[in-house]
Amino acid sequence: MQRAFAAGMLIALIAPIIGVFLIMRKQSLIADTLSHIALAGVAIGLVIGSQPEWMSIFIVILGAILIEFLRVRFKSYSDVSIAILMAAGLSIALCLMSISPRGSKTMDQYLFGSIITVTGHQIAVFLAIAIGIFIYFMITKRSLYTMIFNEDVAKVSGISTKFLSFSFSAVIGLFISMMIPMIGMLLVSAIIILPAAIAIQLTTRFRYVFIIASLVSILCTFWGLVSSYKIGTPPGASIALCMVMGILLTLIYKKSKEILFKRIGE
Amino acid sequence: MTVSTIGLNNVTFGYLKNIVIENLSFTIEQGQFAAITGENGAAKTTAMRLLLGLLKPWKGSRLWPKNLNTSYVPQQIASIEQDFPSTVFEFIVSGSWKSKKWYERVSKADIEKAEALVNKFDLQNVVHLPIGKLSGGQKQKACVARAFMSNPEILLLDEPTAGMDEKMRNIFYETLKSMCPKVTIVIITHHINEVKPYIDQIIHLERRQESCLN
Repeated sequence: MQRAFAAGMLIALIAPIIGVFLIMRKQSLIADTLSHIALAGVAIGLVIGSQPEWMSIFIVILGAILIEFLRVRFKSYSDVSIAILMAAGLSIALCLMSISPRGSKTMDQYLFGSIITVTGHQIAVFLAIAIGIFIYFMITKRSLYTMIFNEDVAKVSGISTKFLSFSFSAVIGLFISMMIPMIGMLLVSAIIILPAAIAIQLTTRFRYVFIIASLVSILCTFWGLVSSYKIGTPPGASIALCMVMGILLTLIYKKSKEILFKRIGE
Repeated sequence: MTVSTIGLNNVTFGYLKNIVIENLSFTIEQGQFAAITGENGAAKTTAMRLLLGLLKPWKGSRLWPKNLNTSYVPQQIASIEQDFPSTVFEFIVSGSWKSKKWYERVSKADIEKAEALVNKFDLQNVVHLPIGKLSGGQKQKACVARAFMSNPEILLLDEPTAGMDEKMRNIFYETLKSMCPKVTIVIITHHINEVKPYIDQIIHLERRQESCLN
């Protein structure tokens, strides 16, 4: 359980940072697409007999770079490319897993994940990667902000937008492929996007949005894991459910505040 | 010709096989306030993007000194998302990041400069609002204020007065004029008559190729 908390907190610290930038870039669906591609990576690993985890990381990073390439190449159809890659990832995964003897067991493991069974070695690797990703965002935060605001403005400011976009995609790919065995492919996107969505509703300040998103994520991960332990529900699903409740409460709070201010105004 | 003269030299450019600019040449001297004018489809934005190096000409060359501190405010910048998590003040201050390393903090001088720009562009009442919630004209002004934060030597603005009424436009041109000759300013505008009293040079583009210099 201690290891589950450690892994959960690492996810809770990094996932919202990625989520904020994805929402600002209007690319919330990318996390979902990449998790589908990760499953294809696992399936390829099983079929060719290599380590599924490393193959999944390799394929997801490749997929993330491919999505970015398609986004630039077909600007008006960028959401179509996401849909194509999502379908491609899942269909490749399902076909390959059906011919692999370990397919169905591994499929379950990656679909739903298990943060409880995470090993000390996995946490050590995850910690190193999380620190690397955190440093990446510290260095590129301002450039990402400018690029999201406007790519041409960023280019004129001397920012290499091509490198920044591709590295951003690769970093997301890497993080998602690390998250999947713990959280499960089906809920990765929710864990990344929901805390960021809550924070964007609660603050209009760029410097606070990351702090609020991380706090929300830590709180929901904590309550999710505790309730999972007490009630026996799946940990990933419990964390995601806490986040869904969080966004509902945030929306209710915002609406009531609006109504209250309107009444005071009258 | 001064060191910071910019311009295009016999530039030809097009999209797919259609030439939209043919043999276009002009120069803008340091400290000038220049306007690129012309009807819709005269490739004004294309000319500005060629000047900035965002597009590569098919033929001809661009006159652009190295290491020039440039700021650019593109067209339709007003389409910033409503939920963009940034206040107007944060957004303006973000213009100073350009000259800073990632670990350098925003200085007191930057904050004071941002406050002065807020006053200059008359944004005092909206400074704490989210940038996405401003009107089109206010967003344009905030974008121009942001562009001034990095002390640019050259500022290029693509239709910066979209969404502003006539009175607001005149105040805006006057504010820009007050920044010259410290900064070279190039703007794209449809309002030739309005802008004439303030500018030093008009580059008028005719639809498809011909360009005449004033």
